[in-house]
Amino acid sequence: MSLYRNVRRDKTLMAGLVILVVIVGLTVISATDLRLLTSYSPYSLNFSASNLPPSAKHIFGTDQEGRDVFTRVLAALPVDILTPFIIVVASVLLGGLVGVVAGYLAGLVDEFLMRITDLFLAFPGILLALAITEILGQSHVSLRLLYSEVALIVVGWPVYARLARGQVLQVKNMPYVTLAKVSGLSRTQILRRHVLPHLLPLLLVYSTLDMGAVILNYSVLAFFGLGAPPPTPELGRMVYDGLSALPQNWWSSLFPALIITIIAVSFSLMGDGLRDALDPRMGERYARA
Amino acid sequence: MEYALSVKDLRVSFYTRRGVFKALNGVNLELRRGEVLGVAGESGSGKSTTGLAIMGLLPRNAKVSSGSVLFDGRDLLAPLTSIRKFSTGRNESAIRKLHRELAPIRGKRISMVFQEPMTSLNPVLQVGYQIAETLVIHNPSLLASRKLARVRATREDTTALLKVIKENEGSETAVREFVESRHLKGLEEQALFIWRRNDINELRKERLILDLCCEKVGSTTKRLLESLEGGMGITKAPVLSRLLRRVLFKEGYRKAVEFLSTLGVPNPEKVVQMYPHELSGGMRQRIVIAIALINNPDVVIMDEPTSAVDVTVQAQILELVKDLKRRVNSSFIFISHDLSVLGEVSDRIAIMYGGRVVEVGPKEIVLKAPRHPYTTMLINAIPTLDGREIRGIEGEAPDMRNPPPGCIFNNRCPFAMDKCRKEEPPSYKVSEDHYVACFLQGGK
Repeated sequence: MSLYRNVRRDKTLMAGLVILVVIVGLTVISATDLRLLTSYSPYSLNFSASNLPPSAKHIFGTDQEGRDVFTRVLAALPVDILTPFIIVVASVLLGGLVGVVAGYLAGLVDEFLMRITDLFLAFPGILLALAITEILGQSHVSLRLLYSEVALIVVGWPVYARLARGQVLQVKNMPYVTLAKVSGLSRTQILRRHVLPHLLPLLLVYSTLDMGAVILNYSVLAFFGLGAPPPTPELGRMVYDGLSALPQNWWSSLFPALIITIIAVSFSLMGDGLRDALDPRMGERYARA
Repeated sequence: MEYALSVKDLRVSFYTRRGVFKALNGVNLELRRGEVLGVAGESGSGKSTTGLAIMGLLPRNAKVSSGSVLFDGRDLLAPLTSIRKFSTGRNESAIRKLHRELAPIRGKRISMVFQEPMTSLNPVLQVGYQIAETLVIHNPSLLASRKLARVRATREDTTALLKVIKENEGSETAVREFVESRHLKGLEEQALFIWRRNDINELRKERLILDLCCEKVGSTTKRLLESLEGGMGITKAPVLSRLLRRVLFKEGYRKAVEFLSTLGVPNPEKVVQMYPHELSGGMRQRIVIAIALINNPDVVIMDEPTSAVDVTVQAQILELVKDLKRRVNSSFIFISHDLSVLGEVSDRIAIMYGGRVVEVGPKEIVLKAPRHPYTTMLINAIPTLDGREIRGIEGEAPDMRNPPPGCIFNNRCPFAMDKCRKEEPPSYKVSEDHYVACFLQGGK
């Protein structure tokens, strides 16, 4: 039974990993030279070829301005992958730091930091992000991408702070930490060697899962026009642009939406798979099975 | 008489929401050099608290109102007893200070073995790493000289060493003298370990000893090791310290293998590479014991090391402790609620009740001719095979928030007199080495 379960879990991880490798590969190629993948330009308008349905020439069709949707999807990948990645990494670092400090030092520091965390958690995340970007983005259109990143970091870090604190609190009361104390390790040595390593799998798994959510959230911001400023193609914005033409010309908004979903799902799959693979006891069973 | 460690009039109370629990009410204990002192008592008698207090592992709500733990001419608990007005915050910073002061002593001069072998080891680190860790922290120069000895030794040196070992039949002093004369300190324990192994044949032993030579290291590593051997600490320089740490941990693993094999761990080369979950409870307990003992500490506190393992493993651990007592020159405090276990390993036994030591003496006397009513009743409560009637102790342990005045046992003692309800009995000497805190024994 455990064998079956392991294989099934392994499949989840593999599926997520394969999709991700393909997408990241496409992203890298598209960032270096888009012409390797497509003969169209994501920017040049061609009204004679507007609203063409999917065909062999335009596999995702063309939008109202006659741009190839497939090309624009590819061109959007770098922004749509890199931005959430930056957001998640920054959230993990910030939240992790706050959580570890709070959990390890305990007492008043803990109380203070966690109340601040609660304050941020109390707002509905995406609304807060929208508000922040909206307010900041009004004046500096060119910096909108940066603002939306900041907004999502502000929304994202408290969860990591909670996670990290919880884990630190749990680990710090384990008998092996007492044993480390008894063996004469200093507080920093205990933190570094016996507490922090227990955080990594948790944060890695959660941040992988979170990548999917952040990609969706970022797309929502982009959907409302709060992402990168216009000529830059962006999946969320493309969904919005295609909305007005919807029932007839479904392709120009449906395909970008589909891609967003696929990316988000693949991160989820991968996060689930990682969670199982990183459990040290599970790893042992893999080896034996 | 010079003691390895002595606890004087230790009083500890825990501040909780439900009141102040007086856990220790004037504990006096002396641990002699080289002995095993068994500490027995029921749950809540303060035996574990005593162990934790000696190690400075009290939680922040524990107030040490008086007393001292004297070790090596200093009071280990000084930072805690010097708090004038108690508050958890003030106590916490004192505990931190204590922690900083004790770090160089813990694991090196005093170490501890805990009850739970299942959770005492870090699940994400190899057990070899966890043993090596205390070595690298407390004794890096030993590791450095072990490694350097193998680098410096020539084939000619090891050939001569082998000859010395053979001629003196593995006598430690002869080997030590030889090693010192050739400035190869650190080689002796490695050679003798190989010589004393009995899982390989003579020929292979000889080859292994001959091979303790001619190792090559990079010139930077060598210089770092030499400075470490000369008494400098581990360098703080980022890249260099990593390099050095790697070498030291590798050497630590090597020493761990040797040490584990002396503890009777089969196949130690494999075991050090394993993670705790791959080992049985008994093996883990041995690893924990190895961590406690590898730096050759003066005092080892064993807090119920046999309580969480089954009887067969318990027997093995007891054998191990008895064997250690003969081999190493550490003193042990062995805490257990099981008198038969204590009868097996200890030289002297201290019986605790209600946060006090009520009787202490040589194990034969305490177990066969106890003088304190509590000890007598405790021994009568042990089931035996000869069909003797078992009698439990009537009544319940006193509420430690509000212990009865006078002798703490007075509410359950069949011999309680008026005096017992008013005064606390002092410790009477009833015979050589045998002390009992009971008015029946004196003051009549």
